Amino acid sequence: MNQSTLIKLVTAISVLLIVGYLLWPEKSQLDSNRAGVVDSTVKVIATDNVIEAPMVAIEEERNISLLSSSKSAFLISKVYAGEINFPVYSQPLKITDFDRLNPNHFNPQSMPIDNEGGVIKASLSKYRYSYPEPIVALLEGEGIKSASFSLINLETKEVLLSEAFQWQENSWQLNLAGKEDLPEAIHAKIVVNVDAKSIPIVLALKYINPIAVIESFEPAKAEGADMVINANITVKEAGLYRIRANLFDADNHPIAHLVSKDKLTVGHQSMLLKAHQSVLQGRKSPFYLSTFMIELMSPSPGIRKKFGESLINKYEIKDFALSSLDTSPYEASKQEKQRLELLQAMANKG
Amino acid sequence: MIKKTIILTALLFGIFSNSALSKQYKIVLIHGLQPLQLINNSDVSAGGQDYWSGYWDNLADARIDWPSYERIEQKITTDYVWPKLKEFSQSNFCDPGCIFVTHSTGDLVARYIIENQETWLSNAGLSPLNIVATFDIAGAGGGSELADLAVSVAEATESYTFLLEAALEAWLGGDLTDEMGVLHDLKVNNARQLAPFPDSRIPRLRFIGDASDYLGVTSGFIQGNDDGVVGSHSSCGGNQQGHYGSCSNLVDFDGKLDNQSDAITGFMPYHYPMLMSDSYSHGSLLESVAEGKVTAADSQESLLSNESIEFDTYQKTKGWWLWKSNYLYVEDSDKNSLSELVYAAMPN
Repeated sequence: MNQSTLIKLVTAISVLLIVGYLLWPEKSQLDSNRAGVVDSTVKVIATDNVIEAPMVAIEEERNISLLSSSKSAFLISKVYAGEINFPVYSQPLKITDFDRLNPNHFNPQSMPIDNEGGVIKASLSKYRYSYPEPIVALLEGEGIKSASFSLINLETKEVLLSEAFQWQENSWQLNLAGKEDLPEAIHAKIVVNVDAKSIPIVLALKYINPIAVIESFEPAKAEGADMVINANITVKEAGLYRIRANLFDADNHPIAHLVSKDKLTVGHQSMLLKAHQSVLQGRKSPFYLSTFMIELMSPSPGIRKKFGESLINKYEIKDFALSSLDTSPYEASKQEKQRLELLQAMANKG
Repeated sequence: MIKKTIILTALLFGIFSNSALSKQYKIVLIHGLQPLQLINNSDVSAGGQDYWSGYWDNLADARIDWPSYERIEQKITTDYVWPKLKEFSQSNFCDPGCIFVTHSTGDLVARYIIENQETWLSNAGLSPLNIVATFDIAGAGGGSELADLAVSVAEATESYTFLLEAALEAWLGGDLTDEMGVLHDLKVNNARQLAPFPDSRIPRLRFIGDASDYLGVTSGFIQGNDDGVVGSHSSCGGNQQGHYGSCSNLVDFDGKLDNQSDAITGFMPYHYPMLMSDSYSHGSLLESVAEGKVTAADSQESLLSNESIEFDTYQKTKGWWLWKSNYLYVEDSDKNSLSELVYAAMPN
């Protein structure tokens, strides 16, 4: 077979396949032999071989009257039941829990500059800054000639701080010194000069004066089923505080998100972080704590939550024997059980 | 007297035969952004009633209405949310358990309530509310890129591009004013930092659409698949902004069963996507009109592979040979609207 014949043959087969596909009557079929993980788990209501029958007819023949999302509710109830097996103060932490691992993350923000898809992207190094940290910003995009950054009081529109971006290391950067006692409601307005146009980008951020400081931690000790770590805190404003920290194992894998709440008065105070034995079993020590957050909860409507800071970035837990912990399981609260009952009732509907 | 009693009984029967009262839990509605309120400070209560009139209003036991021209942490809470919370507590309204049904920005308002209600009510000498779950329809708890753009453009409307102007006008229904109100809260970074981790472990069930009310004109500005106003990163309850194609790693928005490489991998605490559909837009998710088939949105692959489950979804196969695909739908979802499915899912 010469090359010309081969090309003709291939072309003819291709044309036949295309024509066949285009003229093939549109039919649907139920397939009980579907590949994939769901195959073994999902109830296939009709399993007959109905390749020749249009789908519409099959649907009509089934005469299904159930209207339920109980399958989804069933799975959710199983997941929720698993989650409330752990105490609220010591919740398992996964590598995919981005928000708990990066609680101060700033999402870069894009602004279109033309109708052809051109954009300027602006980002801050974090969402919430503590005095006296500098505000660090970055601009990305084609054709930027210059750019300015202004910190604005949202209520009075007053410009509180301003500075120009600098072209450094192949990008437009800003490093703006902070200021004490900035108002709570602020935002940043960036004006980018590009292609003879001024493009505004407004970024959300917080700049806070810390109302409490995590100074240090006491060595961990066992209390029943919990590994307990005492945090030493200097408090400048009294109220109901919440601290958060992430617990990691010796291989830097996340173990648990620890949360603690307590009323504190002004001065040197302490709060307990607790890790339940259920999250610690089988994990490689020494463990360490990181990603600290301290918040003064809103005491009443209209008063915003306030934030503190931590002088410690990482606290390593040394010489703690897991064998010293009770192995008693955690029991969910009455309200959590009621919430589970709701999900289970939904799962059992239909 | 007997006649009056009969009439009163009939009236009471009429009231209590309302299907909301046949449900096991009290249903509280929290609406979303009402863009026209940014232009015209209309009546808040009437606006709230109108917002839910398509399906939910007659099924609910209470509503929390709020004006879009205010901020969540300020007047929305002090003047509109707090009076309702106190009323609920004082009347023991939520003692049997309350389900909050939220739409769009109502998701964010609900999260702020969940974060604070226990502290606020306790400090006021009142009992905290027993909130059993929230049903979040087109949830905007992760913010919307459209709010980012609107707040920026309001600073200099001459910076409009044609497409951006078309998108914002389609969404907001008119020209921007200085009154940004809750749009500030809806900016992605603000939304994701507003009470992100409430202590109460209240299940937040998510119902997600992937069609557009605006002929797709807004979609180019929203990350990932979207319902015309919010991206799937928000409506699914994803724990970070991103270009996500599905809430589930097993099922696409159209019900197609296939590995979803661009699915959300991490969720906000206790956020569970439940149903999703490519037939419903941000607005039509609230209505009583069936727009098309709905699929289950679970992404718990380990559960799916380890459990032997029977449930009321069905599969069908479309196409031929290489083009053969398998789909998963919720039974009768082509005949009932997604809101009807949500309501039907609630325990009686």
